[in-house]
Amino acid sequence: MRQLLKKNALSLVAASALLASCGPLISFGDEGPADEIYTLRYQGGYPVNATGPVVFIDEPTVADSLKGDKVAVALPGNRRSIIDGVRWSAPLADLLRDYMLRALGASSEVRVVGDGGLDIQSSCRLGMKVWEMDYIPGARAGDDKVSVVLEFTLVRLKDNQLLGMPTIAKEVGTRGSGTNAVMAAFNEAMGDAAGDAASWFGKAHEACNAG
Amino acid sequence: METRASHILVGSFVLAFLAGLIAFAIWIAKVDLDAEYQEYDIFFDGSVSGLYKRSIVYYLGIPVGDVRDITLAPHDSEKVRVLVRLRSEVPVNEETYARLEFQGLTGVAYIEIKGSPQGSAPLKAKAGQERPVIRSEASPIQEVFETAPNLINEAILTVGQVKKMLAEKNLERVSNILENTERATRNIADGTEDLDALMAEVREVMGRVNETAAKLGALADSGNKLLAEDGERLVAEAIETMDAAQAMLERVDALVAANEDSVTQFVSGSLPEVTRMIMDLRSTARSLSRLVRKIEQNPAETLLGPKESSYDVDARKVKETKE
Repeated sequence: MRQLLKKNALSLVAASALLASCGPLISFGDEGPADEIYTLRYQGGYPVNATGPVVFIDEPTVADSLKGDKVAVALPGNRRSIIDGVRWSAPLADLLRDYMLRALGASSEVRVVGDGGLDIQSSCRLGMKVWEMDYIPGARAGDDKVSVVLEFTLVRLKDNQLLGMPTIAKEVGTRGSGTNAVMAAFNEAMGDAAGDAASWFGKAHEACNAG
Repeated sequence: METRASHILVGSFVLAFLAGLIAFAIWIAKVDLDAEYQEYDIFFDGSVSGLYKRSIVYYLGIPVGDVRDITLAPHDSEKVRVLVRLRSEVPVNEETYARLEFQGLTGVAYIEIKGSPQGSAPLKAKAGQERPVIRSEASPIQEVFETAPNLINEAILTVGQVKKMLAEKNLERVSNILENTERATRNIADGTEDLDALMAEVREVMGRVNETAAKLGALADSGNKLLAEDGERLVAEAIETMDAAQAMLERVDALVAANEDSVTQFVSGSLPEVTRMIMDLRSTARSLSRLVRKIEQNPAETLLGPKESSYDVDARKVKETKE
């Protein structure tokens, strides 16, 4: 009995030591100020009573350094960074998917479905590759800009036919200084890109039910 | 002594002389007092140079009338109206036509009337016409005269082209071509010897082919034997296999028939769902693969985030690396 107690005590000490050694690894966050959280808000309406073909918007694939919810910074010399103390309200891929879902759905007769839409039989699948979603600081505050580059692929599911593959690039200068101006520029650039995407999509989707 | 002339005799002589004079004048003028004439219009296309008033009109080479007037056509300045007078016995009908002919190379023209077959309706003036109109056609000589200038121009051009073609340089080339042709002909003639050798080889090859065919025939005979002995067993096995396959197909058919609704539902509903599920799984697998790779590479960074610099927008500079 005594030996059993001794063995348990040794096991307890060993486990405590092991837990203590993991201290540098396990952390519950620093004590710094909380991040500022921004979102991409589509300024148009919501899709209503559409009767056109069903198009499934796939989860966007994002380029290196755009994964997660950090706001990417493109520095001179191909250096990358993130804006300090700022993050998106959700992973960037989710934000962009929801933004495009609203933009394309509101501007056409297409019934656009996104996350969870796999249960619905679709005519087409719209893929999106995010090449750039960067804040590019200039030499002076007035030279700062943001860059958005999105590539779309529209595929007809009946015969896996590629119906279109445009790349839309937008650059918008920041008005003012500070993170608010930067994030406002991101929203403006996304609005412009969504407008172009909607123009293309409005014609391209007609081939979804053809063939 | 006074000469006593007989006034009666003198008057008679004078009257006889005058009558003889008139008869002589009529005979000289060839006036045909008994002849009756009929006037016609003829419209010619283009020039009637060489034709004048009183030019003769012939019918089958017989002078039967003359030209009375030549004017431009009233309503068509491209045509010439020729008024002719023909003896009434000339058979002019709907088939008759006039042609402008020329006497030799003198340029003197006349009109030839042709084509008056019997039985055709006599030519009469139509409404709006002063007199009957004989249709006209261009004579071959007239066409030659009209086209002669063009022919001469073309002939001059042709002569120029021929001269260019027969230039010294081209003559040399033609000479070379002829030499080459002669050489080629000689080669062909020589080549017939090779052709003979080739034919000999072909004959030899055909002999070998015949030999091979005979061997193939023997092989086929042995194949027949093989089929007769071993083939029977193979065929029996094949029939057995086919029977089994047939039975299996019948079972599948019966199964499908019994569950037709379920099969239809699976094909129309479940199968697309499976397809979409595969897409979803593919996406999930991709994400998991990325996560696993990150964990493998750096588990601490996966849990706590990577060490990375951050950019201070207000300070406009990169902050120190986060620990």
